[in-house]
Amino acid sequence: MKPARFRYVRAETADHAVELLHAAEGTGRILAGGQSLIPALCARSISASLVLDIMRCPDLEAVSPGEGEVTIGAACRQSHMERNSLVRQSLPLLSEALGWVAMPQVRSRGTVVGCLAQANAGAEVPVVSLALDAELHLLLPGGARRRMSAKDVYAAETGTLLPSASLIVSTSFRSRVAAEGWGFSEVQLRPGHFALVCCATTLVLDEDRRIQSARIAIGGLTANPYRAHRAEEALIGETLDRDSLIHDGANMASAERPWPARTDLHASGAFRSKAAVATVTRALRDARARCSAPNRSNQ
Amino acid sequence: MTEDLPPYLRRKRSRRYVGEGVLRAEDECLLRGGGGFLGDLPAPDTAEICIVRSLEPHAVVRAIRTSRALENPGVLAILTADDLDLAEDVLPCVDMIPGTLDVRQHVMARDRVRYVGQAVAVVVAVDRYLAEDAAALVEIDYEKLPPVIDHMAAIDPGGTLLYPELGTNVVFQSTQQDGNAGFAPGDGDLVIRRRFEFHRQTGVPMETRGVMARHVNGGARLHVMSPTQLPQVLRRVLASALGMSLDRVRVTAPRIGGGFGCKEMVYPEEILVPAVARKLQRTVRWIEDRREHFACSAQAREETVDAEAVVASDGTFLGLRLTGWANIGAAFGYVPNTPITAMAAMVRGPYRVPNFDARMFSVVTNKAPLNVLRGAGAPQAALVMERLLDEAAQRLAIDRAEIRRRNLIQPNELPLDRGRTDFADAGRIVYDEGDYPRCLEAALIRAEYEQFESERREAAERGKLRGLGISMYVEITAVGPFETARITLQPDGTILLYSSIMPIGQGSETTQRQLVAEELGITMEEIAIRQGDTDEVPDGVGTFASRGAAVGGGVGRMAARQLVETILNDLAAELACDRAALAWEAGGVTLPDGFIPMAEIPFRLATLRQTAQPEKIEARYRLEVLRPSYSYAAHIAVLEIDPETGRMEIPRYTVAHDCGKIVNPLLVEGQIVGGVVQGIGAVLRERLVYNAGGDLQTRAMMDYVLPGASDVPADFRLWHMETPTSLNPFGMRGVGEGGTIGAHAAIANAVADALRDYDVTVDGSGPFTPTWIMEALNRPLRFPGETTYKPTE
Amino acid sequence: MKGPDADEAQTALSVVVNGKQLHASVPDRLLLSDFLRDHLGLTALKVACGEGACGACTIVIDGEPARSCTLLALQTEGSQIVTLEGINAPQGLNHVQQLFQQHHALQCGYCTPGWLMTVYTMVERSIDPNSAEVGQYLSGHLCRCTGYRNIWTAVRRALETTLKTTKDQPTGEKE
Repeated sequence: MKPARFRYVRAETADHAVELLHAAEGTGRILAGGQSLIPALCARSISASLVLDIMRCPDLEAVSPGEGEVTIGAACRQSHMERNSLVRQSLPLLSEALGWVAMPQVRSRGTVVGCLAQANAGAEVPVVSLALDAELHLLLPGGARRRMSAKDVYAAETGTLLPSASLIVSTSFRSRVAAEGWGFSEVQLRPGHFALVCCATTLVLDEDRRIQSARIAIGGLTANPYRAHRAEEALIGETLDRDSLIHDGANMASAERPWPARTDLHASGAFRSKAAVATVTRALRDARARCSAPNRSNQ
Repeated sequence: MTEDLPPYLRRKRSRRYVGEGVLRAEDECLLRGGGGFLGDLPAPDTAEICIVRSLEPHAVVRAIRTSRALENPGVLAILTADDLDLAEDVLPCVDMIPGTLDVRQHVMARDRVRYVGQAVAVVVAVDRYLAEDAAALVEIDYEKLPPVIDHMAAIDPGGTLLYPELGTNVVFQSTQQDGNAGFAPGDGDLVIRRRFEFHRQTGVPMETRGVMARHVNGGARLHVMSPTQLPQVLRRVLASALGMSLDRVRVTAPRIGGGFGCKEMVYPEEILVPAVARKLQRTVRWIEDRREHFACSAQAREETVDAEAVVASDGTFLGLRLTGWANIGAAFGYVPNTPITAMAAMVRGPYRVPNFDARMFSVVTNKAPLNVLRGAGAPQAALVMERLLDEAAQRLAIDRAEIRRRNLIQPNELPLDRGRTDFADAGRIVYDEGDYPRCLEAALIRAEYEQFESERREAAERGKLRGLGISMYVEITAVGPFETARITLQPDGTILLYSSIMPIGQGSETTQRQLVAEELGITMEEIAIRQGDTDEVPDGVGTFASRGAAVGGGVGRMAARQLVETILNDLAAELACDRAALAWEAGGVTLPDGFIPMAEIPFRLATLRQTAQPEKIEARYRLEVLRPSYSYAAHIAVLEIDPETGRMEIPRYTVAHDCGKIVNPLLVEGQIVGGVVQGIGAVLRERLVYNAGGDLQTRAMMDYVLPGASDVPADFRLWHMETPTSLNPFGMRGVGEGGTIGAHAAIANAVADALRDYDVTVDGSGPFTPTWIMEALNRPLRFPGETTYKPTE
Repeated sequence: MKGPDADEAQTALSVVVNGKQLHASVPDRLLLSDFLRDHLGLTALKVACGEGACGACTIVIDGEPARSCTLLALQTEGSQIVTLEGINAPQGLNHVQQLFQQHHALQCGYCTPGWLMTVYTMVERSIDPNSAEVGQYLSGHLCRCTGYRNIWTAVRRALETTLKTTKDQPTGEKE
């Protein structure tokens, strides 16, 4: 399980990386944490002539607050973001979800943005990116910049719709607003293994404690994550006092999946559909509990 | 008299090692990162091998083209079967009874491949990276043949044959009977017929396999290193395969990073790597990577068993009839027919079941070869019996513990002859001493069996399904036919023990040293132990079947006893005194006029003989093992299912066990807990998956999901009984495999119990994944409208 | 790896390993596990799966536990790497190793060096022995022999000792 030959280049800047990637005409790969890329190269299930390490590019390591959002650079490691005070404060959903990614010994190297690019089925960060209306900031050959919403990136059943020879330089996630509740829930075979199914959700209540906005994103049930828009709309205007409402919402969210439920070695599609209901239910309950005390800081 | 002895001798005399949780001295180098595993051994000027393996499950090999690969940088050679110059290229199988068809494996495929992962060509290069590059360029033309994957389809007369010349895929047959084998269903009040399915598993030791081979003495000898549980066997096979005399071949087994039966085999690589070394006249090495391991290291446990049990209305089992088929893969491993004969030999466990008839078959398919895996067929056997007991209990409305009590063999019935068997050279299965009822009661009490129903209700209130499963088993251990040991009192006054038992994690070095220290009345620090080198230990049977402590430790202790005799005889001769005037006590020799501590004996003898240097004194012992001994245990698993997620937890696990005299309770407990967790993994998640086309789908650690730290039961209750066995000079039996044997059955029963309200059949080893659980929960209720089971008939 | 040829791309690497500054030229595709084991002779870490799933190859990079089998050596440019050889006492066993021995938390020993690097990090970070974090760290390692029970005990004892020690000292910054 040794990789085939490739050339390794430490990109000096993001532009440098994109130019080299473009010149490699599809045979180049971006290396950030490498926690997915390196094992795949070792198994020789993918190939590369050129591996571009972006971890030393200046200003890819920044975590910057913005207008209602926090932007995380491509070189930010998962373990650092898990513990970062700005992320914990403003993106508590992401901080919690990161604790479910693989295991600490992998998060020490993997990056948040790298997760988005890999789009592994059931991966936690893409699910959160949908729940937090994430915008990916792309750099294209020739220096062109482009924003792409996570929604558009994961619009197909599998993989990303990112343009080839592009580099995600950073991703902006919507910051938590006052009194917003959030919840993350996951079902796995055991800790350290993949998510069979997971859910990221946010809730904002109005003064009458009715749902003003809801985001329910489900991962693992289908190869790519999706937003359960119909379930979200059904919750608007409701109070969440009745558990049956949460349960109905969860059922709807699982049922409205745009693609078939995924069957693999670890679980059947039927199992995932059912477990998704439980996962969404638990995430919504957590979100409800967190938004019932509007002035309390997040856990 | 102890009072007359100086303090240091009194201390030595009173020190007892047997029964103590002595810490392992071997831990120091392991904890510091040493340990000397094969991959850690210095390998200067060593070429690396990458094996080109079949991607086809069943095909004729039309052509192998290596020219492109040979041009790759760093490639030294590419070899196929004909290039190895083997005198003998068949690998050993030691459980072929008369009438068995010969499907022993060849070292490398020639004209036909029969499983994905089979070795087809060998690339030798300056390092593994370059070897893999070249291997990717080797071109093989396959003419595909229909793959045979399902053993029950393989027994169909009209189907594809793996070995057309044999005319069948059924290559082995064994019968075991007891009492009136022709008993009829009508003899009892209840007949249960069930088909049990056991899924394919693999051992996954943390250390993969590997082989290194080098010439020494200017090419006169071949030194082969492999982490094998059978170094002496490998040496003999190598000598035959390479057409070399035995004295020209040396095998050393480095410390083994986990065996579990996976390294109780002679593998193709263990022959082809030395053959390559000889051909190229250089040192070569092959380190298995994990993907290879899943494809071609020994697989295990897959079988189908049809059972018919005839039961009286009071729950006593009158008769059991079995037909079983093992899916042994494409060719024989070392002991491939053992799991299925173990089913026949051990299925009745500690239960009387006087009338018995079993017909067992081994079936070849296009999967990697099967071998034994911890428990060697006994996990499957115990599961069959224990599921039948629970089902009978349910249908006859008898309490589960009570039905077992009514069937258990009583102590005064032991020893008990269970019949002739083909299993493990045992000849006959004759249970030795034990107290099965006491063991069961101990487990029931410690597991709080009587309170379980209220526990179950409380869990139901929390929305969880709790179940309890009981299992008991009897395990064949400490098998023979013999074992040897050599022990020397070194010139420096310390002891050196040469053992045939390989350390695979079970702490054999410590256990054996404890026994010798106890025998000689010395401290353990004065004893060193060596193993795994055929130059030092040329005869030996090997490490398997839970024989390390009982047989290996037993023979070591007997060798120490023999050493004492030799020393006393030598001293008596040199001192010209009556042998009866000398005695061995307190770690030395008591003379009429004094005492010589062991450490001084070589010097003293040298003085008496007027030789310049002290010399070593040696003793050997060969322990003939007439019959194996039988450990037993009762396991009780309490598990809890979350119906929303299908997740299963095992909050409480209880074991009451008897392995005879315990040498080191710390190590014994480690074996039991480790074995139980392996059993948990086996029935909860582990499963080797081949698709219908014969492709292996579980190829990596994330595919084949091993138990993790969160899987060990939080409340693990362990209780020992020690009924010594008269079959071992020191009353010891084996313990290494029992945890896994009991766990399969206990958890299967607990799952069935948790789902007792549902119309669900638990008829095998699962695995009981969340998907399996969810599907079970979708089944209708057993009694619609009711959630409490009521008996029928 | 031996004998690089003209086609095998190589790049300069500067890295501190167990406190020693190293400069080397290594093949681009060389895995960190192979660099440490084969080039530097640091064979404590073991390669058991090659995919980052089992933890046997775990070392510490810039204070964090990481897999060496899923990294290229070149990715550690400018970093500080600590392997088990770097935290061993000059002779004998350090405190955590003693606890592992006392509690029989190893059997074949193949996975053990990896665990010790994670436990080292946990002790450095004063992880609370009763917190859910303990299970998180331990989920990063597989052991086929022990069944984990004794490992939990040894790890908890190690963290309890640290807790006790740090209680007597002023608490430092935690990030």
